Amino acid sequence: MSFDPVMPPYNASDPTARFVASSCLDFLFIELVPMSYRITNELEEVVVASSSSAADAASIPQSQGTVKKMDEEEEREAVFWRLEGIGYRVGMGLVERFSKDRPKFNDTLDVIKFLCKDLWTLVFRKQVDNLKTNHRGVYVLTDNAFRPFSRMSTEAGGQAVVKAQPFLWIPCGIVRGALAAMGIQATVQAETSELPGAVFQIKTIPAKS
Amino acid sequence: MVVYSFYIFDRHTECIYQKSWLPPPSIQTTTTSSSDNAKLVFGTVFSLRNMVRKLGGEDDAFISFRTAQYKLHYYETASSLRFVMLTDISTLSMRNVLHQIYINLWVEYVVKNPLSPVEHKGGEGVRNELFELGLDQFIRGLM
Repeated sequence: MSFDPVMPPYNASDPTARFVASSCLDFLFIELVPMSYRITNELEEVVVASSSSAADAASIPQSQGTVKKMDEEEEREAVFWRLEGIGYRVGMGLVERFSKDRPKFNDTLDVIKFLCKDLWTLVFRKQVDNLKTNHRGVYVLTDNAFRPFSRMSTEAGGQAVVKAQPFLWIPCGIVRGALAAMGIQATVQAETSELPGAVFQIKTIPAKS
Repeated sequence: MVVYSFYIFDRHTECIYQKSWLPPPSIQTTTTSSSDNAKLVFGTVFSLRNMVRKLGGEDDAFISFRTAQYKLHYYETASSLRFVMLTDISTLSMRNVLHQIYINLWVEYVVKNPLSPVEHKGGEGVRNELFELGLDQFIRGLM
């Protein structure tokens, strides 16, 4: 909804503040996923077409219908990297913009807290509900009502949880990009077992000393 | 107040959603199937709307009509979606209710649902759990 109250850390007196209807962001997040699938499949068709025409030039007989399509796993992987990459870039930029007035972070936990509170509020309009860590570089963020999933629903038995998975990939990238901008290399994985909840697992990669 | 049934028609005039709560006392006991009913309802509102516009000008809209058995309420959005509801004859205008269904349920759970397609051919994406649950609760809350 577009009439949500304005949340910190930005406010109307901030001369650099920009306001966008949140529906815009919602629709953009929604459309990026099917768009990535389309682009990935179209690029693959071009590759297949050009390789088969090259094969024609070499006069190797090609039987119709043997054009190798990407299998599901490859498609999934390609779309994942496309979306994750978009998110990574967004996360990087967001941190530059919204951490500029903050003191330097002391340790990794500080950074993770900034991510769970400030950045999450900024992107998903609420804070992370639960943060767990094994104190050895693994952090598990649980959001019981993940905003992009709040209106996600299918018919009963429509495998909503499976279909929701690709919508976690941009947020994954945003988290990884944000951490990278704050000097923490990490791998980020996300999954959901029941809508509208989502669990993010961050494994930090210790910097070589 | 009793709500008998509810229909949504898209801009391609296809019935993309229909739901019945209670059958009206004496109609729908004949042999017509529910899809036939939807076609009949659409034919009625389509003709009425056109007739009303012809007589009253482009901006005129028909809101409801009443027979001895039921009252039909009609709401058309700027995007040419048509919402129709059949209630008992003593019910006051349900235009506001139809508008609420549009903005609070349709827009939220169908248009902003990432798993719902843009076009709802055959009702695809409309019959999702959140929309159905929300609609049922909303209507039962009125009755």
